[in-house]
Amino acid sequence: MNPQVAIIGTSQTKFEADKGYEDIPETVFKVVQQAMAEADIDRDDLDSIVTSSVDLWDGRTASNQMLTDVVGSIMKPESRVAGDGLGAVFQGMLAILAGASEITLVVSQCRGSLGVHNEISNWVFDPIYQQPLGLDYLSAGALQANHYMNQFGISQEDCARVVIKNRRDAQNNPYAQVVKEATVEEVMGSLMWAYPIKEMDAAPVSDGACAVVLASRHKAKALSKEPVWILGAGSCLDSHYLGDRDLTGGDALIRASNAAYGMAGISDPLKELDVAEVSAAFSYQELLWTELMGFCNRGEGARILKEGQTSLGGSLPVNPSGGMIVGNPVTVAGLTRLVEAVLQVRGKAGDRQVRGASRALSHGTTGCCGQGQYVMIVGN
Amino acid sequence: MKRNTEREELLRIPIQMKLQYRFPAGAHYERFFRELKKTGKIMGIKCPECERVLVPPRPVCGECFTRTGEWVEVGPKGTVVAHTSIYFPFIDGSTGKPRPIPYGAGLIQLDGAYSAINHILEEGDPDKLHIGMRVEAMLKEKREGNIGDILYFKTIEE
Repeated sequence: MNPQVAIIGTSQTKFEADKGYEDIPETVFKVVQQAMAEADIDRDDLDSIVTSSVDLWDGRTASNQMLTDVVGSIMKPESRVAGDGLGAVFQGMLAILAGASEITLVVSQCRGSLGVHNEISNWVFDPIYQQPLGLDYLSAGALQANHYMNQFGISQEDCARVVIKNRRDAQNNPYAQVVKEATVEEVMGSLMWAYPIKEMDAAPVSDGACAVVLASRHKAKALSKEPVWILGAGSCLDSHYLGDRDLTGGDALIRASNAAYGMAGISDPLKELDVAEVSAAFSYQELLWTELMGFCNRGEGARILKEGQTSLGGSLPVNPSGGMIVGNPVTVAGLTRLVEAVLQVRGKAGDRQVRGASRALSHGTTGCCGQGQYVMIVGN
Repeated sequence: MKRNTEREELLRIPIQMKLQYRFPAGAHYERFFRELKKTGKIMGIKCPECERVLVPPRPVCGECFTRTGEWVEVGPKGTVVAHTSIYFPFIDGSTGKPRPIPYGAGLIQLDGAYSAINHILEEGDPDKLHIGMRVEAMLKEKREGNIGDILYFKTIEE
C-alpha cells in the first residue's frame, strides 16, 4: 500500500542545559516558524495542531496554555499529548489517516531546567505505594539495568562504550548539548548515582523543542519536492507497575517494532534499515532497545556495538546524532529522533549523515523503563 | 427497610505535593516589569498587522501569528469589562496571608489596550460594581518588579 502520510517540514533547537535567556513561547515560535518555512506553508494551511508537553515538567496544568499563540492554533483544532513527542506524531498521523486533517503541525517542548528531575520523575509513580519509597526514573532505570546486565553478562564497560560512541558522534551534531568526548575510564570513574548507573551513563538535564509538519499523500505531493513518508508505525504500552513487567523482556517494544516492520515490509532490520535513532536515557537502554527491536539477538547489543556495527560507517548506525546521552529535553526526545531520521533520509544530516540512507527508524518512549514504546520508520 | 447510609471508612493517605520551579520570564515580561518598577508605567505591545495592543506584552500575536512590534504605554485608567465579588478566602501568593473578604475581582481594559487584564478591584460590594465603570491602577510606592506592584484598581469619577 502506498504510504499515506509524509513529513514535509522539520526543525529542532540546539539542546542546552538552561535556555533561561528566553521564554518558552519564544523558543517554540522559532521551531514552528522554521518547520513551516521548510514545508512552505503558512498558518492558513494548518488544519490541526498536536502539541506534546507534560504539566509536571512545565510546572502548570494544561501546559499547552502558553503555546496556543505560538503554534498557530487560535481558532483551530489543537490537541495535546502529555507524553513523548513521537506519540504526538501518532496522533497527528491518525488525524490525517481519518481524513480529518490534511496538514498537521506537531510540536514538542520541554525544559528540564525549570524543576528538579528526580522530584518530578518521582511523581510519575503511584503516590500511595511507590512514590514514598523514592522511586524515580533513575532508580527505576538502575533496577532495569541490573536485571538486563545480569541476565546477559553485560559489564559496566560494555555500557560505557555506548557513551563513548554517542559522545564521539555528537561532535558532528550542531544541536547536541554534550560535545566532549569521553573514555571508558572516565565513564567508569564518574560519580555512582544508582548502581550500576553512573553520572556519565545518564542523559543530561536539557531544554529544547522540536517541530514537524505532517501532510496527507495528496498535499505532500503538491507541496513538497522531497516528502519523507511514514512507511511503518507501531506503538504499545506495558503495565505501569514495574513488578508486573518482565523488565528486560520488552514485550511492548517488540510488539511496537514488529507492527512498524510489518507495515514497512521489513524482515531483517539490521540489513534493511540504514540508520536508527533510539531514545535511550541511559547507556544500557541503547543496548537493550536495539536487541528488542531485533537489530541482533538478545544479549548481543554490546557485541554489535563493540564490532562497530552500530557506529557511523557500520551496517546500522544507531544514534549518529549522539542520542539522548548528549541532550535530553525529556518529552522532546522521540520527536528529535524522528527529525534526525528525516534529515538522514533527505541526505541533509550534515557531518553525521549516513551515506545513501533511504530508510530510517525513529524510536520514542514514555514513562519509566520503556513503559510506552513508539517506533516509526520513514523513507523516501 | 432501613437504608444503610454508613460505609466503612477506607484508608486515606495524606500527600503533599511540593515541587520547586524557576520560570524564565522572557524578554517581554522582563521589560514589562522593569518599566513598571522604574517608571510606574503599564506597557502593552502592538501587533503590526491587526494593530491591537496586547497586555501583558508577549512575543507573538496569536490571532495574526505574527511577531509583535512597538511598545506602547497603556492605562493607568481603564474600564471594567467583567467583575465579581469574592467571598471565599484566598491566600495571597505575594504576602502568604489570606486576602480580606469580600474583595472585588475584575477584567479591566486599560485605556489604549485591546486585551483586558485580570486584577483586584478596591470596591468589593457587588451593588457598587458595574460593567463599564471607570477605574484606575493604584501602584505600590516601593515597587519590586512583579504583578503585586499594581495593588488594585480604584473606582474613579469622570
